[in-house]
Amino acid sequence: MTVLNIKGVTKSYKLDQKHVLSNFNFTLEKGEICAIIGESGAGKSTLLKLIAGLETSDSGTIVIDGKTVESASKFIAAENRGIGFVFQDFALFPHMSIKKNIGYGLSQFPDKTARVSEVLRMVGLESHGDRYPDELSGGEQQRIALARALAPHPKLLLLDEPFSNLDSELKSQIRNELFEIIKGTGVSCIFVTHDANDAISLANKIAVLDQGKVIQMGTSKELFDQPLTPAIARFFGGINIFSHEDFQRFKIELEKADFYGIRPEQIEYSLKPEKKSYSAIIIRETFHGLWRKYKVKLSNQIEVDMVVDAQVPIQGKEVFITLPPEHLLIFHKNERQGKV
Amino acid sequence: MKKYSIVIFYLMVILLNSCTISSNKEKVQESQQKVNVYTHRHYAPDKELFEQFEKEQNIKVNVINASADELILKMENEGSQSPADVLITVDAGRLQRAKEKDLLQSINSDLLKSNIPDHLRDVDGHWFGLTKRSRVIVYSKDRVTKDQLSTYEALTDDQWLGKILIRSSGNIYNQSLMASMIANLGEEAAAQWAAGILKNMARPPKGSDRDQMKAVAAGVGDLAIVNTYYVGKLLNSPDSLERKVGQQMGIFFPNQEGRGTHINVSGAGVAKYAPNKANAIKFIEFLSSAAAQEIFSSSNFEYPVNTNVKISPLLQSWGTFKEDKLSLSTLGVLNKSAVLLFDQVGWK
Amino acid sequence: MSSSFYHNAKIDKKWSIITILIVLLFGIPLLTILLKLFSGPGESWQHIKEYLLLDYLFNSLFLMVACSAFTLTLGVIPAWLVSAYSFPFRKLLQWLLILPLAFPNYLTAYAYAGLFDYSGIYEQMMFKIFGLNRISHVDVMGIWGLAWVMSFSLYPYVYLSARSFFTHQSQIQMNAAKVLGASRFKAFYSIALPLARPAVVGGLLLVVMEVLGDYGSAYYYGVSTYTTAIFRSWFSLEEPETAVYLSAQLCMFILFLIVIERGLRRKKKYQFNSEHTRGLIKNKPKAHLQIIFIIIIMIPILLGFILPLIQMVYWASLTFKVVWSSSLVTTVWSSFYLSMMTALISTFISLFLIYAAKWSRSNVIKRLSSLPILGYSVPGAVIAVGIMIPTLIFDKWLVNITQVYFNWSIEFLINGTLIGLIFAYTVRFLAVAYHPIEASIQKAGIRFDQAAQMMGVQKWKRMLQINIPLNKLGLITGFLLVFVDTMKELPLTLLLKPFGIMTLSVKAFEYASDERIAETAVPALFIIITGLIPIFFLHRMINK
Repeated sequence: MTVLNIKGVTKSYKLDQKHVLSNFNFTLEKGEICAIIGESGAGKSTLLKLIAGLETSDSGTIVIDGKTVESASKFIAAENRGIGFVFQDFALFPHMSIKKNIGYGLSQFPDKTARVSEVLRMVGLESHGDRYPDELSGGEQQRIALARALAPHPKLLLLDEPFSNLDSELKSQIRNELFEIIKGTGVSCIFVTHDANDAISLANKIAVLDQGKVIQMGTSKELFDQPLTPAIARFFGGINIFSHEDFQRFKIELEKADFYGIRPEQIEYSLKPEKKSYSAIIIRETFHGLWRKYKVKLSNQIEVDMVVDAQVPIQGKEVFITLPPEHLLIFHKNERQGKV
Repeated sequence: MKKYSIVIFYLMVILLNSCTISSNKEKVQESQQKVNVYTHRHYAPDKELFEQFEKEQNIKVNVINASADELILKMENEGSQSPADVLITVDAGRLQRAKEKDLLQSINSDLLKSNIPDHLRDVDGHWFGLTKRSRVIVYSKDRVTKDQLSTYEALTDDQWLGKILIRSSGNIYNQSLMASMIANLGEEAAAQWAAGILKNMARPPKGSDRDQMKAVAAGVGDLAIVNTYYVGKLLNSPDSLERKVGQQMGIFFPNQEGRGTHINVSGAGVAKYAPNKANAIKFIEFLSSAAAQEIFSSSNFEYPVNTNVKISPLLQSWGTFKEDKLSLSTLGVLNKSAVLLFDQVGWK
Repeated sequence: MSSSFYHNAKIDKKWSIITILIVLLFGIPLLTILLKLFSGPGESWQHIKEYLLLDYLFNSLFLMVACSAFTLTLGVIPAWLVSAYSFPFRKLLQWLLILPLAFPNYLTAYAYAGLFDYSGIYEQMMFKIFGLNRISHVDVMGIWGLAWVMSFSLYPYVYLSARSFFTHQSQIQMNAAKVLGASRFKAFYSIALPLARPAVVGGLLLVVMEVLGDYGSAYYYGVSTYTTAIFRSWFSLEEPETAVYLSAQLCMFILFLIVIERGLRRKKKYQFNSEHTRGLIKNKPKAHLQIIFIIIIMIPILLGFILPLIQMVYWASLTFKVVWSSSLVTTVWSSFYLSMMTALISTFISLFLIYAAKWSRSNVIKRLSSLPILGYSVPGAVIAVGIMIPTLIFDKWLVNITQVYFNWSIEFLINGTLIGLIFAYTVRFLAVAYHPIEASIQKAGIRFDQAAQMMGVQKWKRMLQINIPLNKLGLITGFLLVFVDTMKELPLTLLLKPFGIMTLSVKAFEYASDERIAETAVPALFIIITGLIPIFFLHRMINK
């Protein structure tokens, strides 16, 4: 069953500027957790605000749970959409206790107190109910913000950069905890992030936004293995990109494309020349803990990055590398490609 | 939530109250006899007099205090709904203006006629003078002698160059003096007179009548043109230094040989749409009575209009004088010309 | 616009219509005045043009320029000293410097007139020291004296804007200059001063608006300005037409100044990230310099506050018995009541307009909603004129139709009533509440409101439970500032006050124009003391 259906939504802030979202289409099925990724200015936050009803679109329709919430002739205000929203900075009301914060949106609930205790238990902070937001740590505030958003049983949960305010050490732990909770409730969920790890580890669907359009949508594996553009490929980790002319010099038989790419981890090397290998000179070596990164210059004058296990550094100045064709990515210009 | 709604409710009640304050006041007193007075005078002795009237006649006096200009404007705006019964101003000119604007009505009271001399009330009975004030020359007793002074006109003489202190032309007493000049001498001569005074001024006109006398005491100039009762007020000031200023002043009544010293009156008229006309007449009659007139004279140092009243010892000490018998209505008629002439000669 | 507005499902009609009504209501006085520019002046205009206009123009412009120069000196130098150096009593002085704000400038003017007149402290001191030597006589009651007096009561506007700039914005550049070895003084005139210009010009604009709108001081000192001319042509020349015409010209001029200031600000917008501002690193100068600094700072405090206050207290001690009466209590209460109502209404309307703009999904509404704050730039006398004309028409019409259709005879509803007066005050002072509230909301952000919105809470409930509690300090500050400004207001009150109601400011003015200057002190002290309370709050808010 479809929870969210966005059709042909266009949004621009000022008349003379280009569209933040143009003719945007998107659907979310019940129980799905979708990550929206993209560069800043791609329209991620605007998309979230449009779904929430905090902004209005110029045209198009948004249907939530079978009910049209925005169209040319209709607009349901944010307060009447039944959506949960976790703000980037949590926005816990500083003048209310935790219990009051969570119970604030529950005036329609028959048993408000019970529900408040229930969600507090769910996020494991039963004992904190009478405290005030400024007495809690960042991670605790994060969990309260989630509890508050989940308390009224929203049809859809939106999270805006949920982890950007947390220390990186805490981050992965809290991230996993929170998504266990979200998955446990079975709520459909959209979250905006600029961190690939968030997207890969949490979402069962990732939508990549660029210049107001979804340029690729799929599971994290699909996006990693078959990125549609160099920009998407780059989002999930380092990559060597070659223009068509450069790529000709490798003399590899592959379908014609505008750009080709290969991830540094997937470049193979040996110390002796092999079949279809290219001799290369190491021009820079950097140490990254578990692995080492080399910048090498090939005999055909092209520079590439490659990565090897830190335990087995390359001895000597010269190395022979191979580009396995099965790992080569191809990109076509007629696809939207973002910046190369 | 409850707390806030109570606060808001309370505020609404206050707000609504504000609309009804004025009308309630009047309703409460509906049963009682009353008179509504619009007055420009705000002196303490007046208040005593009003209280005395309330006691004697059992008529409540509702006072509305503002400048005559504002009061006239208000009466005009209110039209036939005006609650005003009596209008009191501090000069005849404004009363005349009110008469011209058809805001006053004619009253025929024998008592008023006998209490107040003809030239101090309107010919048609629209208004009645209550107190007299004369605009005189005061001089520094140290530097000027009485025989150097004669008339208002003589003040334009070069011997007073840089010696005369007088307030600005925006002041009604000056406007009224100027109007009397126009009436007596004609526009051209009046303009010349004003130019002559301007030439002899010790400083640009500013401040109050009291300030002029203080400036004389301070030696800024030697003479000032002021209303007499301000000398009385200085002499009775709580401030000892002000009393000292008063003591240094000599009073000279100009033009005694000719037409007499310029006077003006503070007076009252019954409003055209007065809802309590009978009370209004009683009220004005009371103010013209000997008892009331004595208070005006002794507490506010004004000259009584009622000739049966003995003036206070202080006023007696200044001596009697011949007053300009020019009809006071004329002052009102010529007021605007006076203002325009002042502007033309550059008397600020 | 209207049809698309009406049919646009995305716009909240109820809130938009209320907003538009408020904007219209507040726009009426200004529009009335400006329209008069086209209908021409009255008969006496020719006379005024010939004999007086030049004088009005010269005096008003002179006061504008002189007060700007004085207040700049009096405001910027102490602001710099307290924000760049550390010395004993710095914190205390820093807040004493704002105190003259409690003095309406006409009261400072009365006090100075008293200080320098024959029986005043100055003259008597000179007399005691030099005997009869009259050369020392200082005539404060003139245009220079007026400029002096107004500057000493108005410099805090410049001081506040300069200080808040120095403490919040310029420290990065200043510290950089310091590292580069520039002396403090050099850093001041070559870096801090140019950077502070837009902020200081904002403060200066307030000073100029106050100077041009002043009636009480100029009237008492006998200086004819545009504003005194409005009163004069209304009453002495009996020509409201001409008064309105003069008002319109004055209004145009001030709007012109505002446009220029906006332009200046837009062009030179030095804005810095104010996240991590901890103020300038304060130098500790040598002991003798510290003393000099304290003396420099004491000058405006002494001349703008302490000296006039002493004069007022002295007068009050002389006249207290005469002035004190039950009617004075009523006067205090009316002033208090009027100020409270105005402050409450202004605060709520500001709050409404700010959130209506934030919540509205229509750009037109967003832009319209801040228009009513323009009223602050219009002199009180002009607003009074602008309100009197349309409300008279309305009231007369109302009286007429109730007479004709219901046979009720009612009084005027707005003209010459408390409603009319409070409305006029609100038009004039809305901006005074609007700015601190807006600043507070800006600082807190809209996110709490949005969070509550996402929890399904409706507008009014959010307003009461989230937005009002979270912006308490801003609301209180706005409320108190309006309260005091209303308490101090003179020209508008003189023209619109209902009869039978007396306020402290009018009482003081009446005593003064009645030649009982010493008696002004008792009502004056009430105004000043009430004025001190919000200044304390304001200080706390700025220092936060």
